[in-house]
Amino acid sequence: MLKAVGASTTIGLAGCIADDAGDEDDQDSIDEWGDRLVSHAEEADIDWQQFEGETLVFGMNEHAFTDLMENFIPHFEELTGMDLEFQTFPEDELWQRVVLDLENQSGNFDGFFTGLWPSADYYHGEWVKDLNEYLEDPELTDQEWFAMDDFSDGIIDSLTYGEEEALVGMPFGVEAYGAIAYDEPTFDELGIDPPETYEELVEAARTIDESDETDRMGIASRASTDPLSTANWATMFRSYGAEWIDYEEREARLDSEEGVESLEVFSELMSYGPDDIGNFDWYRSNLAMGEGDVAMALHTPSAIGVWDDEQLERTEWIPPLPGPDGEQIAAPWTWSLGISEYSRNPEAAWLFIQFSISREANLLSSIRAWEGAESYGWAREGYVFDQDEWEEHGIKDSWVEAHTQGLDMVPSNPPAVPLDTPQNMDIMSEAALAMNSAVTGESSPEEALSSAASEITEYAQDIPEEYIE
Amino acid sequence: MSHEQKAAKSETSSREPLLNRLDISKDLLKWVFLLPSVALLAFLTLYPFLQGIWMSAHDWPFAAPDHNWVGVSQYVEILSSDRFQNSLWRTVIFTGGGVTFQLVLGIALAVYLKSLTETWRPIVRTIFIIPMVMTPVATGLVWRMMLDGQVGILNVMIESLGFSAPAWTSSSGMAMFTILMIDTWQWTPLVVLIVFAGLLSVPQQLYEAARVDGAPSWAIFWHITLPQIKYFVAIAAVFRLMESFRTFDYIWLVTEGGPGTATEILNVFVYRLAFVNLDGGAAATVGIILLVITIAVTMSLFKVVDIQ
Amino acid sequence: MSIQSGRLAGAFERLTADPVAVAKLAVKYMIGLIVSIWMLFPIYWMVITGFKTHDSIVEVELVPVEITFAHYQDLFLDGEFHSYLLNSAIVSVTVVSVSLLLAVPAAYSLSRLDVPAAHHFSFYILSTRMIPPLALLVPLYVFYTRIGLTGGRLGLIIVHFLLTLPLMIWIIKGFIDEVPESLEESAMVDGCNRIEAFRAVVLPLIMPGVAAAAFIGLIFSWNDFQLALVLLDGGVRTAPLEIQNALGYTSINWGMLGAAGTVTVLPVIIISLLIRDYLVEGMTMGAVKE
Repeated sequence: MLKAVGASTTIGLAGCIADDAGDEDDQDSIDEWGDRLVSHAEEADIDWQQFEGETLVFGMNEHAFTDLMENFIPHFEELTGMDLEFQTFPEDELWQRVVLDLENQSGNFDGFFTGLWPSADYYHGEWVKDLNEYLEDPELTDQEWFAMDDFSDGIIDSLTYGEEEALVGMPFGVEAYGAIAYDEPTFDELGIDPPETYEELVEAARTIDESDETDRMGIASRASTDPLSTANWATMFRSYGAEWIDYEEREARLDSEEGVESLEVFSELMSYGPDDIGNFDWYRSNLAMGEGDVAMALHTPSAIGVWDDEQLERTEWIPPLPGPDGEQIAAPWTWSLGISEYSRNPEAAWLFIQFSISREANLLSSIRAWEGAESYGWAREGYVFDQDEWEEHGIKDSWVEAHTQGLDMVPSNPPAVPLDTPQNMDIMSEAALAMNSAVTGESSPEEALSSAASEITEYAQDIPEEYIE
Repeated sequence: MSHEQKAAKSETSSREPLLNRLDISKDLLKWVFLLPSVALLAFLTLYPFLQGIWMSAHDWPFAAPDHNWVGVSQYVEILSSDRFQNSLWRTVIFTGGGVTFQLVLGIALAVYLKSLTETWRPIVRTIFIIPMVMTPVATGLVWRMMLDGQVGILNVMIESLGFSAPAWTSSSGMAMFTILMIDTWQWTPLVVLIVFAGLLSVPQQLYEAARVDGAPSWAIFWHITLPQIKYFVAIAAVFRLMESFRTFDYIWLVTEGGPGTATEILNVFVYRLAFVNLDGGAAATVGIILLVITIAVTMSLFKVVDIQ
Repeated sequence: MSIQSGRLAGAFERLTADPVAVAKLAVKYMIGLIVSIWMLFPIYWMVITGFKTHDSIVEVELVPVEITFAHYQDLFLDGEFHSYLLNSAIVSVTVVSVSLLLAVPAAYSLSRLDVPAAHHFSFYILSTRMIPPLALLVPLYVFYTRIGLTGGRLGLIIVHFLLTLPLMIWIIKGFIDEVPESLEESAMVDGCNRIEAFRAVVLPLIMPGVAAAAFIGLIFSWNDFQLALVLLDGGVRTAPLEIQNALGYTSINWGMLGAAGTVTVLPVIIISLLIRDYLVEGMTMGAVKE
């Protein structure tokens, strides 16, 4: 059912395709890829059947990756002789259930979606297994086959914590935020050049928004109060040279001059967009650009996984812009799969993780393998972009540039947001409130940031010693 | 069958149900009848309640291995925090303002309903029931859809009349208005139905006497109707208050407590503390405070209207 | 013909004779119309969205030109919405039925049987309804996990008593209070014991109230989302939970929401229509006054 919902929403979102909600994914393609995944898996020098008869439950997000992988559960089950169940929920609900499950050590989920930003918290709570344990066990992993080198060091670093260097999640999708997507035809029509600085970006947005020649509004981005919505602004914020906290002093720093300036510019930018920008979350941002309501989006290149072909054609990409001092820093996000500390079959869960994030699998996730499929992946940067299928897939060069350069701009130390502390979600939720207040005009950027600062300083003071280097 | 016949029957029939033959004393009976319910409710609420108090006296982040005792200080900290006070204020507006408005509107509509002819009444009454029975999740999502900037019908209709559509959820004033609007839509019918029942129970003689005396209709309403239905209005008020403090689903779906914290009523604040900040101690603390407030408000309402 | 014109003439006369009255009538109907539209429009919107094609949704058509059953297909053929509805039904009907068995005697004892500190018990019962479930979600979850109530319908049923019992006891007690004790007393004089008297005399009179209470209990149980979310594991789902699944990854699946919402609300509306008369009498406590 979820697969059908996923497929129908994709096709539905496409707009130009006639409404045939509930289209079956192309069964032939699924079979073909299923065989590919299995034969690839069999190349690994491990015994896939070693946990025959076990049952696994994975807590999954309503997400392209889930929709995709669901098709291959039967293949995995045949390969391993195990029983695998996906329990899929909308994101909010997933967080809730995972938290309840882990807090109470119930072990209902063997594995689940983990996001990058709360990982330190999960690590701190001793909720997740250290995946390095399994990586280094030759019975469980053929290291050559699994090719950890494909993943960028920066991403793996960001998921590694503590002295024992525990890896809390295996990423299947990585994204950098703050790239610019623009509708080329609109730019041509209005005679605008692709912006190279944030000032130019604001100009462009204003021109488009005020122009009579196009119905589209200027620009959209995420500005809702969800902490995860701060990602795009965070890129601007750091590129303007601002910092969230001073780790050593354990104080908030986001209300600095640079911070205020970045929020002022961001708010101005958003004023050239939809009126209810304060509600813009992931869905709305995608929809706005995907449906052609806006001419630009300050967003992540990974969003294209759900756009329709027409808009994809028209869109060109620019990597995150430099701040006034020429700094270019991008905030990252990953979706990974993690294993619960309380799982009864952690090793078995690791087998599924390998299966779904193997080279073939990640390639599959990264391309639209068949009509109506969605894509989300690109975690194996060192592999995916070199493959034939990628060439055939025909994603624009500007997209690849924006994506890879964006990822290059992701800093490790300090990270773009304080994701290396358990307090990250607390801090960023205050930041989100401030951002939302400023964008909706509830308070001035300065006021918003200073009231956030006092809250954030309190959180910063709770950061345990071992997270301050 | 009349009670005489039945009584006669029970004397003569030898196959009566057991209960009729048992000579249970009143004393035993009252506990037999009452205790199962009370026990069940106690079972369901006592542990969570006590655990909640326990958590509120500790620093209890979900993702931390140990929990330190902090005693009352968590209450002090939270009660004096800006965020809490904002949330309290929002609750006053949403619950206090909302319920009051719904009571007034409900009474007005109940009077209206009563003034309808017998043919129209059942139809209108049925229509009134419908918003009440929608599951709040659906209510939240449907209204969210109607208010949406891109697929929302309300903006389309407003704009076709020549006005510019308001930003329903993007300013704190409008956001509060929006959730009040949804709340009113969903729950005013309950007030209407309860008050309507009350109106029907007012003895006709009172009205006739007043009319004979030549009193104007507003005076009749104010001095006769209102006092008579006082009890019913109070019941409606209690129901609404209890539910209003617990509202969550559609607020979260439509505004997520925003913009900023503009619609973050206490119950929404609890959710954020628990599932975004993962702070169990703080969530429990605010939860207990909310419970106390609810009980206090309800109790004072009882005293004012003198219900037993 | 002439009769008709006679009628028309009569109507016309009335119209001109008392324009104020006519205006008042017009206003009355206008109010009724406006309020009805206000109440019904969101429902209408939800129902037709369930039948709209994607284009129709995006273009915000007031009345869809083209309709599709695709969303219903998704729910019932590709999905298992009927099983979710069934789960909701099983839980709600069970809870309400058992609640009736518990609530009626409890209400009776509070009303008639001189329970010491009756008003304290009453208030305690009502106060259990005031606990915000969110605040106690974690302790609830911990507790129910330890005693094995999480996961399936049974656990949810037991917890739902929290939603239904307090209100039902309260409502039914209110109705019993309205019945004069003298009626029972005369029955008992004639030889019935208390229980018989209750069954024969009081019960028929409060039936409408019982129906109203049951209906309200049903609404709360059927529509519950928060408790179902926490207490059911992913395997068992009720209808309201599933509605939230309309929040997909790519965008919100409005069509599915329309269909799911419609299907979820329909049974309750049907029931309310069926017991409409009871509801009316039930709310009309005055009818039982001597």
